[in-house]
Amino acid sequence: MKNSILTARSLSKSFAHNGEQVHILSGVDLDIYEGDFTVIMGASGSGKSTMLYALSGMDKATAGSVIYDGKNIVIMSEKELARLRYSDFGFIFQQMHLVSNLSLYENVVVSGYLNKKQSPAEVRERADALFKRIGIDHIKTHLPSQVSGGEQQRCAIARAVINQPKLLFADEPTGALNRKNTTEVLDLLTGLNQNGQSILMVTHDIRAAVRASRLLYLSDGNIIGELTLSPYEHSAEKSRETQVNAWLSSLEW
Amino acid sequence: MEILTLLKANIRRRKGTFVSVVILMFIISMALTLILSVSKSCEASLNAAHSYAKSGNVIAMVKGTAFTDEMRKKLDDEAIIDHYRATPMAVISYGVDAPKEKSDISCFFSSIHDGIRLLNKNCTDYEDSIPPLSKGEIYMSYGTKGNLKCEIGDKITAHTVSGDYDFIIKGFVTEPVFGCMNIGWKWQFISQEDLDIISAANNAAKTDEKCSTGYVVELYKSDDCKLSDGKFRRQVNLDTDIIANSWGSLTKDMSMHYTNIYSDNTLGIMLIFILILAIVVLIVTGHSISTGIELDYTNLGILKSQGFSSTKIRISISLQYFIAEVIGSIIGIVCAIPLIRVLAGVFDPISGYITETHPALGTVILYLLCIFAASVVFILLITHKVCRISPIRAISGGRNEVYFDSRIKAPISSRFLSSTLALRQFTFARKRYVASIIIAAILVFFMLMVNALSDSTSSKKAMEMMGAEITDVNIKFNEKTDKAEIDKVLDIIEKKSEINKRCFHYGVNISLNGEEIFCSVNNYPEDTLVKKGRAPLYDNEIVITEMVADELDLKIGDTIDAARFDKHEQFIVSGIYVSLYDTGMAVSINADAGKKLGIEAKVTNGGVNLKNSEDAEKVRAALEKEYGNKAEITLTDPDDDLGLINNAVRAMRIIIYAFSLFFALIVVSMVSSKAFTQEKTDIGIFKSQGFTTGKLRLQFAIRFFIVSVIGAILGTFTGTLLINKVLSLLLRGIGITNFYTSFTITGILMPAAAICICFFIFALIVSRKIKKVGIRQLITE
Repeated sequence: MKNSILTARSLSKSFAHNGEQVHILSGVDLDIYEGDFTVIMGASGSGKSTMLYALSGMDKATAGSVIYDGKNIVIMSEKELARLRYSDFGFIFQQMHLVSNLSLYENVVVSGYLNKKQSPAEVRERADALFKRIGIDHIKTHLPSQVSGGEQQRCAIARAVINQPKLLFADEPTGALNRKNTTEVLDLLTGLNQNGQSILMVTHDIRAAVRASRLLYLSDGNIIGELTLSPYEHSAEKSRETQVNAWLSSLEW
Repeated sequence: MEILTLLKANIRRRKGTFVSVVILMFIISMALTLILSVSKSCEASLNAAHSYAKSGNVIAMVKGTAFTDEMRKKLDDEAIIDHYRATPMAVISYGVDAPKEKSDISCFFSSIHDGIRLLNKNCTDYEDSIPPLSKGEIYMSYGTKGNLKCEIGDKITAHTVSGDYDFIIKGFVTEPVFGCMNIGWKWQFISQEDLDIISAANNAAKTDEKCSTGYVVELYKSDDCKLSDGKFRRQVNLDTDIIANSWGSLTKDMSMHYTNIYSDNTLGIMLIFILILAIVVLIVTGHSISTGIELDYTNLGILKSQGFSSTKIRISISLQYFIAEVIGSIIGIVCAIPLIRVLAGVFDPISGYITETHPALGTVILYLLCIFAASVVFILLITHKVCRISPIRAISGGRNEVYFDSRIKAPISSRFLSSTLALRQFTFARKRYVASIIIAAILVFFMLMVNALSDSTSSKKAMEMMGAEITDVNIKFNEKTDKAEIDKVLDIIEKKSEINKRCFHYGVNISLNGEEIFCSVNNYPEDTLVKKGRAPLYDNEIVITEMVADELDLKIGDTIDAARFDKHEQFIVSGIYVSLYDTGMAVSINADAGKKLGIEAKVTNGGVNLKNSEDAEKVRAALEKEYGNKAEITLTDPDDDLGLINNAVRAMRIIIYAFSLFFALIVVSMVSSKAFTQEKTDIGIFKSQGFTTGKLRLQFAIRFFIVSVIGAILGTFTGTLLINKVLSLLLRGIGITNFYTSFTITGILMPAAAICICFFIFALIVSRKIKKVGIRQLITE
């Protein structure tokens, strides 16, 4: 029996548009389990990213609850949410969003410095190790504008995990990358998951989806399908892709 | 039409910027309207006062014995004189005492004549007529009210050679020739009966050149005389000797210059300040447009792709700012009109007349048109970058800011995370803050300048260095006293305290190369504050001020012809000295040289400047004990002496501080709003990493604090280097050619601290918008 790390109940999100309420999420019930690599898929505009932001507390849900560690993050204060972001959650954006005037290394350590549970020396030590591990140690003093998109995204991943988050959120992390960089980033995320990192990722890329251990399909603001996969192995990638494609076809993807 | 549509959209979208420019131009235009209107009104009112008084081109206080039939005939025969008016007067040479103030100013009492206007009880307007005076009543010139701190109904005592005479002040009048506070002679008006009594008594008393009766003679230029008032006086003197036979004389031009000296100088400094603020507005506008173009890069590209020419886009941007400037200016003019009277009222007691205020709309509009023209040219230059926008490049991704390695790359510290991040953000986008740095520097410079002015007028050392005679202990002898007697007094003082400067000189007007100049016949010439050359230690030497040197084209070593009544001598200029007497138009000789011109350097008033001012009371007690029966000993309260002037400087300081801080608010608000818009994504990123709004606001404010600190250092540095020169130039009109800054630590640090704190606080206030930035900003759906 897996432990639920994040529980959403009746999660709703709507926006006002031209005086009318547009419902993006309509009462979603969801559990995210510890150690899983959960991937949410869905058609464009299905509300995938909105759900990810609502679950991670980056955006406020209109109704419902998201329970993490016994607390509802929907009603958390700005300070509590800030603490959650630098201690328990990590986030990877589609567009990387590195601070342009900080070097890659500084982008990572600044986030680490926020977490006062680690000493600055520990943060730097961990950042050094991460940079070596993800292969961007040689460019760590470069500014984001001086490196490739893949290198930026790897740095963004390092930043997301510098505080050893309990749950890592990723919003289309390969959406802005070429094929080679996509593979590198996915390998990195898979490696992290294999080392016990819980990941919740949104994507519409089959190659990314096959890395998941659990797939969810979102349509019209609700989860309408779920697929559980065996642990990822590179050699079995083709068969996983076939399995995922078939599942998606059954959901009229 | 398309430009109009764009313009409306721009104004709607950038309401904040539009309103800020309106406010800035409102301030500029209001201040310009006030300054120019008061300046013009003062000039016009003084001219009107002279016209009403029918003042002569030259006014001389001629000795009664010299104003003979022969002299009258010479004046009648002088071709360049149209006519003259001689008003009999009695000389009050030992000063006038009022209940609150004793003064040794020389007064000339005459009966009332046409052209003198009576002020109402509150001194806010003129009465229609001037009631005749009864015996024992006096009308005093308005400037005397400030000199003697007296009011209607006060009893004043006039000290003459024939005794003391008491009068009750019946009212204050505008006498435009000598009536301002800062001219050392005063023309007062008494009844004919009193005048006859004093004149008779003075004539009967044992008189000398100083204490007598005479005539205030006003000389009027003939229509075909094209000489300036100064040259007219010189020519008349050469032809008739009338000036040489006077206690003193003044041309109408000089009188007008002295009368409006404080308003002219104060308003002049304010005008320069406001014009520089107008440059600040241009800098802020330029910055705003430049960032606006960067932010709107994609939109501008789209407009270009739809067929909008660069010119049309530039016109729409220029018009947006131009309209804001015009609206601000109109509101400023309208709001300033009721305040003109208030500002003019500040100068009325100093200049001695009531200013009839009229808005100088023509001049104001001319100034504003110049500002608009400069603004349009500037905006067109700034918007030139619109021409470089390529529609394709703009549409495909806009123009993201690309940072390169900065040489100033301070490390990010965990301990000072907010501060070091703020410093990084600043060093990586320095260009964005250049405008703010320049503005902070300008504001600090001006605040520093007004502090220098204020500190110097209240500093004994500074006033001395600029040529003012500052004494700690004043001695008013009961009778004229010679040097031998003064030396005894000094011996008593020296037993109690060390003397810094001895001020015992006799002031008199002499003719120098035909020009009438104030001459100080000094018993202690070695104490003269000489700037170049040396003190006049020999009887053929003279020291002159820089202004006299310029006016008479003299330098050290030159020979000069001096005359006093019938005595003529030649002197060699031995040095350039510093003096504020006669607003800097003064010379000084020693007592022996004075004797050669028939001047006895015996004095009734004098004083000493002590090395340690705190000994003053001790000195006063000693002098009282040993000399109390021969002289009256008083101590100086510098605030009292410079009361109204200090008030004017303080008022100027308040205005410049208030303007600076208000400008700082608007500037910070405009610049930081733009920075905020540019950095929305970064703010979102920081928030997504766990930065709280409070931390980000602090980071934002610290960045502006860093900007203001750099600006403040720049402003303080240039200020300390240039302020003496700038103020010497600006204050030359009041005789200060050697401005001496007596900065206090507070005086230096206050402007910098005020600007830095304001930048920090205002940025903190503006940054409240950070709270509204959600991380949704970063979401790509």
